[in-house]
Amino acid sequence: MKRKTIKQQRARAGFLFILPWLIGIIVFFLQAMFNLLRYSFTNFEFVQGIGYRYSELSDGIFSHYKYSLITDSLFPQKLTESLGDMLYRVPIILVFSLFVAIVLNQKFKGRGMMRAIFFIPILISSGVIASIIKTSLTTTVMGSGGSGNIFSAALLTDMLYEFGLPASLVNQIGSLVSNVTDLIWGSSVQIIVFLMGLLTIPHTYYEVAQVEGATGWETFWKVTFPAVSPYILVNIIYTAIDHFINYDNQVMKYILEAAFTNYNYSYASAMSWIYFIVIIVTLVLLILLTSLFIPFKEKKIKNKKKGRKAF
Amino acid sequence: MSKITTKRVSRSRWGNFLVAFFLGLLGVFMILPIYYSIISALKPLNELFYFPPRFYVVNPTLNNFLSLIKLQAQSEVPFERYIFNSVLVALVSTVGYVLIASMAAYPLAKHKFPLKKLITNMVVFAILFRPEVTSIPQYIMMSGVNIIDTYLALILPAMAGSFGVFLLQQFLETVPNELIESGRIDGAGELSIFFRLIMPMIKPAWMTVVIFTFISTWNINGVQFIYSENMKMLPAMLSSLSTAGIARTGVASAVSVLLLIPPVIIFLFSQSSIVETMAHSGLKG
Repeated sequence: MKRKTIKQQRARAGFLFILPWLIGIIVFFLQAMFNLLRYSFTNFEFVQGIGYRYSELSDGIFSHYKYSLITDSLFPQKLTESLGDMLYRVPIILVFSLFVAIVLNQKFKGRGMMRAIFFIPILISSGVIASIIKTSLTTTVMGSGGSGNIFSAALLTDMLYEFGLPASLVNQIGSLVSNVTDLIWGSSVQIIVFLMGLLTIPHTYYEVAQVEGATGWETFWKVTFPAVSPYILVNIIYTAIDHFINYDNQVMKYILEAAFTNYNYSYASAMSWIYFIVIIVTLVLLILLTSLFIPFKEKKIKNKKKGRKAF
Repeated sequence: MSKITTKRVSRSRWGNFLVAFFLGLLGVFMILPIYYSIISALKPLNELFYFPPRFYVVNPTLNNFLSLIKLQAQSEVPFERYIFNSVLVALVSTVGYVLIASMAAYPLAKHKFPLKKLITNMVVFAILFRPEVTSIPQYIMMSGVNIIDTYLALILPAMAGSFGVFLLQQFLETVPNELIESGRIDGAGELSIFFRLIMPMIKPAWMTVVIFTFISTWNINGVQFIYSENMKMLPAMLSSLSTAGIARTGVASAVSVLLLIPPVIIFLFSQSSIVETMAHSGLKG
């Protein structure tokens, strides 16, 4: 057998490294996606005793898709609303989290504690804790559902009532605060990702900038920004995806409700495929749009810096 | 390290004050929900139903925790068993996933091979689906190979997550190629380059993945895949205890406080080592 070139050997080694994850993603993700597509063209149901079965749709294989886009008035409406919300959420969260990350990267007393505090939303916003807090506390105590951050708003309105402000004004402030907390709570992962990027900047860079007499503004654009720019795209994608597949997202709620409350699993599959395509198109547009404005690879600078750091 | 560090921008005292005020305000927003659930856990039943809700306790009590203990004493499976189940699944998934994800991210960032572009795109697309949406096809597949009602039914899907791969890949892009080249020139094989060069360098990144994975797997309810009572996860058992009506509101808040403890511990643990890594590289830079 002919000896392989070094390049081929490396390619093979690289592929072997990916293999475990690739098998997982094929078995659990691609398989599931393919089956979802199959269900969406049929009537899929669980039957006691047999397990599950498909039956053919009477009016064409696309009837679930037609129904969701034309007959169902709620789905297209929720879809456009969700897209509209994303347009303002992504830039706000991005700028906000970059700002907080920069502040958290400064030297000040209690920095470790402050960083820990910004991790809190990640600790409780996922899973059972959040759902227990939401359902059992907010619904019984506050009388309404909504996201976990509703406490802060409720507590604030409570305080304002006690100060004797009129009810209408208090409610206005309450909803504003609720929106703001929603954004703050939605940005903690982004803050951490930016912080990760900022930590790769050696302190000497800032010293040099200072010695050379650069202003704070110049330092930001010449030193800080290039270091975080690879993470801007990461954060844009993450923020958009997080917005689209959040438990509080209306489209997501609607799809899950169709699947697990109404047991219309085929219809839910069709809707999730439509949603999937909409999200992908949006993401591709976002990526194209950002790459017009921001240089993502600053490899030269990075290599020099990291090289020195390592030796 | 502190000697090397200089203040980046010389700010006025007012600027400092404003930043401190801003951070403090945000901190309050972040802490309030946790504070509120701890306070609620300490409230006696009648105080829980005050309207408007109070953010302080008049007569703090541990009754909610005591009734939680009483409730679980009635169940057939001992409490420790649920804790064991959850800890086992969370730990195995976290260790396994961090390893698999770093191994996948390394060549995606640093190697050239066919289909690389396709796989990179797949990483992003796989984040797009919530586990709930794909849970029925997954269930059918797993029941086909008879792993439903075992720990594997929870651990294996957790291995196929892709957000960690995405994050690690982005971080690995910033590791210089020269470093890997020099490792190769010194005669290191791919495995030792990965474990002795790459993994230590990207420690902050995989520590972040550790936090995310542990928290999400710790929160797994798993009722759709696990039926035997002695195999059930702690969150499943606790949420079934707490959702049994308004009278259980106090118990529910005790539960939410208890479930918070391990993520907080893991976070404190990994946070300090992230800081360590930073301090270390700072010294050398």
